[in-house]
Amino acid sequence: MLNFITNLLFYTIRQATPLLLCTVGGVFVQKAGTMNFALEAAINTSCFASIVFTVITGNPVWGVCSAILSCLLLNALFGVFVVNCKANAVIIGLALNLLMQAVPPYILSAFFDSRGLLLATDYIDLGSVPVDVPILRSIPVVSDIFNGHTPLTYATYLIIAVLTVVFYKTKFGIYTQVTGENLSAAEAVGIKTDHIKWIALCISAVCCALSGLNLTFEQVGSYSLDMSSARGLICLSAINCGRKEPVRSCVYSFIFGFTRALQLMISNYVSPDITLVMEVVPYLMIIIVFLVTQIPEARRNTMRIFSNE
Amino acid sequence: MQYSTREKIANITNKIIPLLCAFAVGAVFCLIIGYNPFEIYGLIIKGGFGSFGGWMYTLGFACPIIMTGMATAFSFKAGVWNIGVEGQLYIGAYATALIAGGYYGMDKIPPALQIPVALLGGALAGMLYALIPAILKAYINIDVVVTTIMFNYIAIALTRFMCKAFHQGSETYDSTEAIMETAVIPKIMTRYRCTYAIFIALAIVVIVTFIIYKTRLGYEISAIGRQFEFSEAVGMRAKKKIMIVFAISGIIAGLAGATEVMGVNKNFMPNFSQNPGLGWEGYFVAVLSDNNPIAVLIVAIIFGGFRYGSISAQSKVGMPLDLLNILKSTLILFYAIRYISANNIKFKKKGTNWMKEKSNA
Repeated sequence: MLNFITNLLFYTIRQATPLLLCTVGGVFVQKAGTMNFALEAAINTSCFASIVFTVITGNPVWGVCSAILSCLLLNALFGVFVVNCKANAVIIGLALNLLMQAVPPYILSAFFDSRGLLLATDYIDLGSVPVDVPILRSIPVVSDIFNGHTPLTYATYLIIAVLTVVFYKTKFGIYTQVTGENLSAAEAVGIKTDHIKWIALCISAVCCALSGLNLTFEQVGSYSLDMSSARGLICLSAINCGRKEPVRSCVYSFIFGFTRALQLMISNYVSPDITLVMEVVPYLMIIIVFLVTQIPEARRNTMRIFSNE
Repeated sequence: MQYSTREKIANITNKIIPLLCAFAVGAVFCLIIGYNPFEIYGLIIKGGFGSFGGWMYTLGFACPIIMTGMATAFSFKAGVWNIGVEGQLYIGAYATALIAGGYYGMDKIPPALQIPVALLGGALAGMLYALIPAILKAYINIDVVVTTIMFNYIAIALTRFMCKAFHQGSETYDSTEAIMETAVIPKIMTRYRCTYAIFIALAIVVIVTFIIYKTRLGYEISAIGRQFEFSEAVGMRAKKKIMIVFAISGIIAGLAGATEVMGVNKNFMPNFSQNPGLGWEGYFVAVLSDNNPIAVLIVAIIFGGFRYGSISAQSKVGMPLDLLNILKSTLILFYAIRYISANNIKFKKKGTNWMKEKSNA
């Protein structure tokens, strides 16, 4: 039983890492007042670019560079359309998601003879990725949970800390919050809201790229179709549940990571048919969390209808 | 509505520019893998619209897209984003497959009633499934775009599980039992894909057009879509209207799934609507047609033609089908911007950022 719990917590940390990275980057864009559905597309892009360029060049370093560059490019596209041309963010976000669902199979079926899968295990050594932390090694239970994760997993918590400080303590963070609260007021006091949104998009792009890299280089070592499996949307829900605050949103994405880990762990013990229905659990969890967080707010609402910001 | 010449020019320009941009992007993707883009586009258009058989297949492919496009456009009209048409379609199709497949003693339904009962079952199932996010939106104010997408995933996973665990048919692949002979919607011509369900789709277009333009409900829906708070303030009961919109949207989506099962597939397969999915095709159509029912019909038929044309292009020169999805998504990407507005046609001052100013209007 103890074994089950420690395993569960270990996998929770593992599953939460991509979600946390994506969430903490996405918070900035969301707080700046842009509904960013393209998070999903960004994770997908990062996964695809990292693996494809690793296979082409044979060197994972190029994979990392191309993942970050392609995510920046994707968010730049989003920025040009939404920030500069003032198009509807939801339409653009969903269009980019659908585009990034179509491009990978197209490229893969044209050049790599397989529509849905590209292995890069020849170039990436998954066995050497986990880090053995000397201090944690000797503590019995804690070591099972917290030791042996990938470097990016430990870096994630550092990134969260840094970005939280940026969010609350720096000029840029405050400006971001003001932009999201009231766009015209922010412009009236002389904040260049477009610049703020662009910087937020860049932060989000790098975080999403790292999130995709965590999936491909540290967890799977290959690209498969729909690899992001709605992680971007889950992060978006986490951000909305956490009222666009970094730490609170991260707590929610940790909960979603826990749900996914629970699903994976239980799948080991039950028949394959039940495994299929367990796929529903992470999505149901999101609906439940939405209910729990929104019902008190709906109660507090004194108007006859809900005003849409 | 009356449009001035300037507005007409602006409208047409705003529709042609994204088309050119999308074709340019598609051409780049063609060139990457060494095809001649003009040859590919020619094959797609000739395959879809070049012959009588092509047209019959086109209509067959367009039929569910008309319905899902209608379902999406109707909800967009009211300003609620029902992206969950895909999920409602799955649930509707599954319910239909159970009724028409004779599960749970349904085979005792007299043959004459089987088609209507199965259609009704699909519509009801789609409606009930659509009402869940509607209630969440109306009473708890949960963002409807996120929940409907989540319900898509839930519907797909759930139907796959139900199909495998409880209702697996005699086929070797995952599917329910084939539906009864008497419950099949017949094909107009046996060789082609198009079934009589196309008339159901046309009827839906007529009914929805009537609802939107000729009834009080339609007027109120348009008003709510434009000004939510004002409509509520003048007494239009916006919450109830949101539920009604979702219910109608779900009914249409459920019918789309039902006709697809009863006319084309003859059983429910867990992956019958994929790449990117009929619901998503409906989303493309609704965005491109500005939620105008007649435009939905036209765009859906064009999309059906593209689909059949690219299938024939795939069989002729081996073009990957995904090119079509790339084209469609770039099309709506570029379609979301207004490049030029009516006030701006004659005087385009140099040095000002006209694109940004005018798209704000």
